[in-house]
Amino acid sequence: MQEKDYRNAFENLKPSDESLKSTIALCKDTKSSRSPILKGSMILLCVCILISSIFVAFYERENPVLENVSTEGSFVENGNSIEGNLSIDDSEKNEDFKNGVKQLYNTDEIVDKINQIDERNKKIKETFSYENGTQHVEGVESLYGSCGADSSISGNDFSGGASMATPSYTFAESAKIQTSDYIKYFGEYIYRIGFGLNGDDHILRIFKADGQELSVISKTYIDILGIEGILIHGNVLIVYGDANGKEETTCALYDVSDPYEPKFINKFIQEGTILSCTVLDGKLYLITSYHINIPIDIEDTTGDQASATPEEPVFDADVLVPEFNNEPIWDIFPIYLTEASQSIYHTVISLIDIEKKELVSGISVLGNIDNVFQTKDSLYLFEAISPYQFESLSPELIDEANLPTNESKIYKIENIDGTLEITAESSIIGSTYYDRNIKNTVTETEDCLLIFARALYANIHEIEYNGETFKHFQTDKSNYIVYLVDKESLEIKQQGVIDFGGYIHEFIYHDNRIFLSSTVSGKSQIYYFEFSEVGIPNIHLSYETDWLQDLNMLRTTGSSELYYGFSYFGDGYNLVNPPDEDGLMIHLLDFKDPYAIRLIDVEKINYEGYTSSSAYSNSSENLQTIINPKTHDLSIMIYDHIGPEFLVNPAYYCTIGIENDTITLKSDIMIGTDDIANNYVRIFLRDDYCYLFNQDYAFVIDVNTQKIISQCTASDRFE
Amino acid sequence: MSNELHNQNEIESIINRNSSTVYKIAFIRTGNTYDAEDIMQEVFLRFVKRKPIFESTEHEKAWFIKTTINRTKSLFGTPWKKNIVLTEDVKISEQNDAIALLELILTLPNDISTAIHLHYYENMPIKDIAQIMNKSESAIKSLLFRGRKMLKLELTDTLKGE
Repeated sequence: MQEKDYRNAFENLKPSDESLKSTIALCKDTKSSRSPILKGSMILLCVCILISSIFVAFYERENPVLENVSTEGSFVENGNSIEGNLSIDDSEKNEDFKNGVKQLYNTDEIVDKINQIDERNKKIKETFSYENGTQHVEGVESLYGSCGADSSISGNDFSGGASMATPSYTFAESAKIQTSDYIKYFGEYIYRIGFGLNGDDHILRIFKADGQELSVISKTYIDILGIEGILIHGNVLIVYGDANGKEETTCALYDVSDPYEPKFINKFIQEGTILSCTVLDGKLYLITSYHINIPIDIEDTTGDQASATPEEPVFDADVLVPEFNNEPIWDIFPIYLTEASQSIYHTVISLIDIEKKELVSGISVLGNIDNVFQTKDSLYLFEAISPYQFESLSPELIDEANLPTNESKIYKIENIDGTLEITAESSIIGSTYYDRNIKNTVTETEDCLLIFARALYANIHEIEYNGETFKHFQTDKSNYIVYLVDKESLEIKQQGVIDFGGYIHEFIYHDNRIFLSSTVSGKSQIYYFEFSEVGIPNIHLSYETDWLQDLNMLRTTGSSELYYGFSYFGDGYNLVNPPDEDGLMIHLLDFKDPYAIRLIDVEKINYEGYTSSSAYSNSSENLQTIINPKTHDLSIMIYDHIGPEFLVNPAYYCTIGIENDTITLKSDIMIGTDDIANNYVRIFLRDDYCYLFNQDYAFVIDVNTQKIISQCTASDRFE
Repeated sequence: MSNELHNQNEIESIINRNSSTVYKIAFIRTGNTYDAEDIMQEVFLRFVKRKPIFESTEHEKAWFIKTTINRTKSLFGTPWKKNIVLTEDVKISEQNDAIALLELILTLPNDISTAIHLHYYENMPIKDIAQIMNKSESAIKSLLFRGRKMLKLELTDTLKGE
C-alpha cells in the first residue's frame, strides 16, 4: 500500500455543505454556557467536592490511618473529613450526599455499592493472599555493564546497552534503576518480546548469545495484547502492557530460571494507562494513570437549549476509582487529593514484592501527574498546574500586575518499611512536560534533582466586540527555568531562567557539568551551566553555529572532552515527493573548554530513502548508539522510513571512530526487511561481538572486522 | 455584559478550518456519516460554549481532535450505540481502491484507526498522538504497527480473495 492510497481514501471525505452550514449557524446562535473563570472554577470545585465526597463516603473504615504530610493536600483517611467538606460520621449529611449523587446521575448504583462495601472488603483480603507455591532459584541479577552501556550521560541516553526503549514516555531513568524494554540482555541470554504471525499475539523469545553464536532457545506466547516492555529480576521476568485495548495495565510474572522453558507464575491487573514500570531492590513499581470519566456535560444537564448533546451515558460509580486486580483501590490504597487537580486523574503506584509475588503497598495521587522520576531511594511525581486550561476571559478577574504562569507540584514518595508514603512536597514554576521537544527534563546530582521546567506567561490582548472591549490571555511567551532541588526536602537550592526564546533539545549531565543543546532561529546552540554555592546559576553560551541543522542529540565519545552531535538532513517524512538525499550528520565537538566548544569534524552519512524529521531527536529511539569501552568506537543503528513503499522501513548500521581528530566511517551496512517496528531495533555489545536486532532477524557482528558473522531469525514470519 | 470572545466571523473561520479534520476523525471512529456529522456539530458547539483559548494553531487542532475523540467515546458509551455496525453506510465501489481501503480502515479497532489516521494523514508526531489519546508513545507505536500490519494483511487477503 502506498501512502497516496491512504490519502486518496480520505481526500474526498468531507461533511456535507448542508451539515456544515447548519453547524455554523447553530454555533453562531449559541451563547457560552459559562462565564469564564468563575463558572469554570465553580464546576471544577463541584467536581472536586463531589469526588472528595464520594471517596469519603466509600472509604473503608478499617483501613490503616495515614498521617497527613502537608497542609495543602490531604489524604482520604478513615472516612474523616476532607478539607472540611463532608464527614461520613454525620449520617444526615451522608444521606444528603447519597441523595445528591442519586439525583445528579439518576442511578441507584452508587448507593447500592455503599451498602455492599463490607462484602467487597472481605473479598479483597482474599484476593491479595497469594500462595507461595512457585519455586524460585536464587541468582545474581545481571547488570548492564557487560553491554558496554554509556551510563554516564543523563536519562536522555538511549545507548543500546542501557536497554531503554522509552517504555514510559514520561519516565527519566536514573543510572542504577532498571527500566523496561522490549529486549533485555542479562548474562548469556537475550530476552525479547516480538509479534507473532498475525500481529496481535506476542511471543517471548529467549536467545542464547554466546560469542559469535546466537540462537533462539525458547518461545513463549504471552497473553497481553499491547506489551509495553519487560523487566528481569533474578529468575523472574516481568512483562506488562495494555490488555485488549482497555484502560488497564496487565503485569505478568514468568519464572525463567530455566530459559529453555519459561513458566507463567501469576499476573496483576491495574487500571489506567502505563506511566512507568521499574524494578528496584526486588520490588516492582507499577505506575498507571487513570482518567476518571466524570460526565463532561454536567452543565448540559441544566437545560441548555443550544446543546445538541445526545443522551449521556449512564454514570457508573466504578469509574471514580481505578481497580487493582478487579477491586476498587479505595479499599486497599490510600488516595491522596492534591490541592488543585485540574484534570481528574488517579496516578496509581503499586509496590509488588517480586519474590513473594504479592502486593506490598500502594498509593493513588489524585492529580494531573504528567511526569515521574525515580531514584534508587524515591519516586518523584510532577503535577502540572496550568491556569490556562479553563476560560481566561474575564476583565473583572484579571490581575494585570500579577499574571499567573503554569506551575508544577512535586511529590516525593518513599517506600518506608514496605509502605509507600508521600514524604515531601514542593512547587516550582513551569512544567516539566509541557515542552514536547525535550524528553527528559529531570535528572539527579549527588544531593539534588536537576530540573528543567518550561514556564508560560500570558499577555493580555484586547478584543473589540459589539462596541465593548474585552481582555483575554494569550500564552505567547515562555521561559525555561532550571532548578536544583534538594532530594530530601524538595527545597529549591538554586534556580535560573534561560531566556533565549528557542527550544531545548536535551541537556546532559556528565562529570558534574551540565550542557544544554538548543535551537534558536535556525541556529544550533550549546549552553554550559555553572552552579555556585549561593545564588542563581551562571549560564554561558558555549557554542553557536548557523550552518548545522538542529543538533538534536549529544553523545559522549567515551571522553568527557569529546562529544558526538547528531543531526539529520533531508526533506523530512515525505513519501509523495521523494527528496534527493537523506541521512545523518555526525559532528565531533571538543568540550575541553566548556565556555568555548569547538567543532572538529563532520561526517555525513547518506542513504537512499526518506528521513523522518523526528527520527534523530533525543525523544526518539530510532537512533540507537553504543560506545565500545575498549576502542571507543561508536556503533549506530538507525531505523527510518527508508524506501519508496509506505510499509518498508529497513534499518541501517554503521560504526565510526576517531582517528587524528577526524571521524572515520568503519562500517556501513543496510539491514533490510520490511515493516520494521522501531520498537525492535536494538544494538548490544559484549566483548568483541555486537548483536543487532530488527523485527525479523538478529545479527552478530565481529567488532574487529565489522562484518556480519552469523544471523538467526527473530520472528515467525521467516522461521 | 456579554462575555463572547469569538465573534461570528471568527467562529465561522475556526469551524471551516477544522471541520474536515473533525469530520474525518469522527467518521473513522463512528463508521457512518450520520454520527460523524452529529459528532462534528457537538464538537463545535462545545467549542463555542467553552471558548477555549488556543496558544497556537497546533493547540487549536489538538483541542479539536481530542474533543472529537472524547465525544465519540461518549457516543459509544451509550447503550444504544454499543452494537453499532461500523460500516453500515459506507458505499463500496469495486472500482475504487481508495473507498475499498477506507472500508478496510473502518474495520480496524477504533484506537488503531485513529492512530493511523492522525499519524499518516494528519502528519501528527507520535508524541502528540500519545498526548491526545492519553496513551504512552510506545502504545501508539504499537497501535501503528498493528494497524499497518493488519492493513497489509487485510489487503493481501483481499487480493487473494479476488
